[in-house]
Amino acid sequence: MEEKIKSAQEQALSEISQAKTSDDIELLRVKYLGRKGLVNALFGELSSVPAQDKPKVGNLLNRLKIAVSSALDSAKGKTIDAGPAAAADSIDVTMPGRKRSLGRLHPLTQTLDNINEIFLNLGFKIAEGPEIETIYYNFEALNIPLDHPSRDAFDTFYIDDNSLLRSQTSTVQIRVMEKVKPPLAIISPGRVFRPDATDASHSFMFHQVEGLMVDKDIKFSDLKGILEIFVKRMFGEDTRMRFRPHFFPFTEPSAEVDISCIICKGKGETASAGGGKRCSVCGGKGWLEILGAGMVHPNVFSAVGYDPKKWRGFAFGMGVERIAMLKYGIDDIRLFFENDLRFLRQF
Amino acid sequence: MKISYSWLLEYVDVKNSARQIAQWLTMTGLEVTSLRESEKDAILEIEVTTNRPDWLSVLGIAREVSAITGKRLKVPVVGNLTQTVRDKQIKVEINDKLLCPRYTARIIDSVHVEPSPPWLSQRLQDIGVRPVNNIVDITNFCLFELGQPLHAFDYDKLAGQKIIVRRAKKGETIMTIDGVKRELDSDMLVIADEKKPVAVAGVMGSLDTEVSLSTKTILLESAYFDPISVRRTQRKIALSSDSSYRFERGVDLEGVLFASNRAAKLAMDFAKGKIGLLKDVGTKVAKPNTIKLSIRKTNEILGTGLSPVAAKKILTGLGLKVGAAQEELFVSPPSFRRDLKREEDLIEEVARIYGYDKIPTTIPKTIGHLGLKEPKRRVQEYAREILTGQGLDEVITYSLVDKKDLENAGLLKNDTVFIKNPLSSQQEAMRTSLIPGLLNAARFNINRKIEDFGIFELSSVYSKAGENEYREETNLCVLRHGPTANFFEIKGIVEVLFERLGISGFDFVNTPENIFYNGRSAKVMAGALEAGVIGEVKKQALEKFDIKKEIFLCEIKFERIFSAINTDRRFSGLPKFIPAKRDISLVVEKQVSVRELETAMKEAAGEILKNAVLADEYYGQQIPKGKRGLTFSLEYCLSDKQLTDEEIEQAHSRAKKALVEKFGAIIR
Repeated sequence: MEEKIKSAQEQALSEISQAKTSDDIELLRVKYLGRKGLVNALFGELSSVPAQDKPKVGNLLNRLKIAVSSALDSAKGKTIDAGPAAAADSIDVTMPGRKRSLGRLHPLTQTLDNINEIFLNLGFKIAEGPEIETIYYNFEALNIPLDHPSRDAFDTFYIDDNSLLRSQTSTVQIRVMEKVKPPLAIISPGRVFRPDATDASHSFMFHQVEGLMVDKDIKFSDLKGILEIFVKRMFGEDTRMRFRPHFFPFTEPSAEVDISCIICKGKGETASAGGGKRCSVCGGKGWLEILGAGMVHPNVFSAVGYDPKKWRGFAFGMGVERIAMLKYGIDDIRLFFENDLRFLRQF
Repeated sequence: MKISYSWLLEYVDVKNSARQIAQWLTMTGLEVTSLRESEKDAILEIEVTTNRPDWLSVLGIAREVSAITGKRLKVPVVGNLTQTVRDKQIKVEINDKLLCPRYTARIIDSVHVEPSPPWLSQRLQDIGVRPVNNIVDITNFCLFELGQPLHAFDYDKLAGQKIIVRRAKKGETIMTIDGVKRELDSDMLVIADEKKPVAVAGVMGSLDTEVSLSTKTILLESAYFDPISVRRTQRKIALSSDSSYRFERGVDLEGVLFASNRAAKLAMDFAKGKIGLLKDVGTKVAKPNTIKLSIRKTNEILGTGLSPVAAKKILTGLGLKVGAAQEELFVSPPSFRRDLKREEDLIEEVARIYGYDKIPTTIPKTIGHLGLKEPKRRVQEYAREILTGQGLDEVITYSLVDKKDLENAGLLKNDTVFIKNPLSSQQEAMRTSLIPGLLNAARFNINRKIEDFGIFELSSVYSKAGENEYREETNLCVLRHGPTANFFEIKGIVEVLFERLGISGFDFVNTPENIFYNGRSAKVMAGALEAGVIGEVKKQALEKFDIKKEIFLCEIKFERIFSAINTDRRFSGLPKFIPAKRDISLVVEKQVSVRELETAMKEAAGEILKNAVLADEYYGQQIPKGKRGLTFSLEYCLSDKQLTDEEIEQAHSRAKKALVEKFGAIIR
């Protein structure tokens, strides 16, 4: 009897292993486990086994049943087709999914949102102001005197003798300080205009974000700290930053801020076959200029009625297009305003 | 400004490489934008900020290198300048001391005007200046060496042996060295002889008093001209020169004579010149200025721990006179550092040379504010989300547009704002509407075979609000083009937006609008407020924008619906009873509006009719001409009671009856 069980198991497992379709498996299931199948027939023979052997043989039979059953189950998972019913309903899963269309925000909006988010989390409020400004807010209050060469950097579109399109969003800082008492921390995002001939890196309209923090004990090192957080959040934790002295009429001391090139990681060259190639993004310098910053000039505080002996602050400004171009690897500023959907849909 | 490495090394005792020096300069505020190295030399291109005219010279940059490295600065030594010519006279008269506080004129006689010696030509060629002759080259050499512009006149061509520094007279003209005749006016300062102007002060000399190969005697000018005056003149006659560039930034009042001496000596040595009479008229010494610098404040502002000794060392290195090293330093900047006016300026000097990189990074102690967005900004961000959620892509178009585009869209109005100094006619007007920008964007994409798209812009439009007063408002424009685009699709987009923004009581009122088809456009009303327009754009209007396909668009005055926006939500409970649904299909005259039918059904059925929504509109063989088939889905329900079948049937019959009686509808 034990021999019989053993050979039945070998035969069953061998046949199951050769089964190719789910039909084959169903036939084998009937052959072995069906009501009139081999396993049931062997159970029927159990009555003729001597009483003392019955538990042992019964046990073997149970194990046979389990072995065949599980072999059938696992074989079923491996069969090629899914049975006649399933075959008729089957679908081509390689066909494209049906997409609900979802529009995209303009890459400048996305970049601006990123920048705003970082500063909001640092406790800055967003302040906005008019694009059509007066000479006072655009120049005088910012310590940019009339007939000074420093105005050359701020060529301007005029509307009438006193009104112009703002050439920087620092105008908003003045408007806020006129109304709000310190301490304060604001950023002012917005559109600015400069009559530059349009080319791949110049546009007569672009966007800026300016920041301002005023309190009694604000330090230059705080400015470095805040901007370091910004730079790392915006461009990645491994981004390095450097401050270079510079001149802006509205800050003293002033700085330009560079970040390590996001393409060559500050090395100045990119790996290529046969040695390094000069990095085209930073021009081999390893650094990219992205910000202007400094400690608010006392004349600016005086213009808004803050006592420069009592209050100190820092200010910074950046071009949103420049940051978006670096972040996304865009090489022509005009793309932002052409609104080519093949461009817009990449972000 | 360009300088050569070899020239720089003549004035400062350093042996470091050009690359190292470039790095130092960049990190102290003299950004080296390019460095061209050759076997023998290197050329540095330096961006000099407008506050530092003293850096517009090789000596000035050498002074910076000296301050950084602590190595000795070697100022050129002039040597013996004994006057040997006494028979030639010159008178100098300054009529406007404000515009010209100091003027020096020196006669140099018996010069041999000829090509410069090779070393001199090379110095100039290295930095991109074309050598002319030894006299002109010497003046240029001194300009770049010391930062003081000089001018040499042909002495024999000056009338009356006289120099008069005066404002130009109305109607006077001058032919400048570049061969252009220029009109002068009384705001401009000129150098004149007895008869006529011989130079536009600080900008350029006249052609007929220019030094030529036949010149025997020169009159060498070295002066200080008022920066603002030079700048205005330079801009007015549109003529900028290396001289005006320095004068308008401010030269060194006390360095005027030194530069003249230096040039005279070079003219002796390299043009066989003999030294004649010198006139030095006007103020010779700049007003002294002493600034108090608190070391405590310096450290507070920078976040550093500098000692008085360290700060003093830095300032002294820059050529500043500094008193005893104590908590308060008394600092006197030299006359070439007029940019140093107050304590903060000195703090920057200390920080620059100390090194911005050595200043620590800290977090402001007082970050305790909460970041905040204005509600208006939040709503705009939400609106953008709702619109992109409906499959629209955001565009950003220029605020400045072509006047013609406004005209073509029927939007050129009296209150349009114009730019006084536009770059081109394409950017001369401020947009009064987003429509032209979006139509242009649509054409751009249609021309690139993009055949199914929806775009929107949420941005400012501009108009005059009065005399020299202007208004900026946020508009929203949505544009749709494609096979499934139609009036109702774009209407749906706006409806979803308004529903999500919580604007209740908005409506679409059939009114013809200029660029839209009559009968296929509407005013968008938010309550009694006219919030915008919506519709299918007329072919004639599209042709003006070179668009040959159908366009549907909507422009909303977002600013004006702002007060109607309400994004607060209250939970109103869930319905306790399941509503009963019934349909009505009918055929009715075409001009009867769905709105009228809805209203009639609601009035007739009473409050238990919760909703009557159009489910289908159809035309076809079964529908007679001039009529249309409509199917409404009706929902009957009360919040506090389960309706009986009888109640529902009675109300439903009343609704049907009303349609038949009021509009002659045939119920199918």
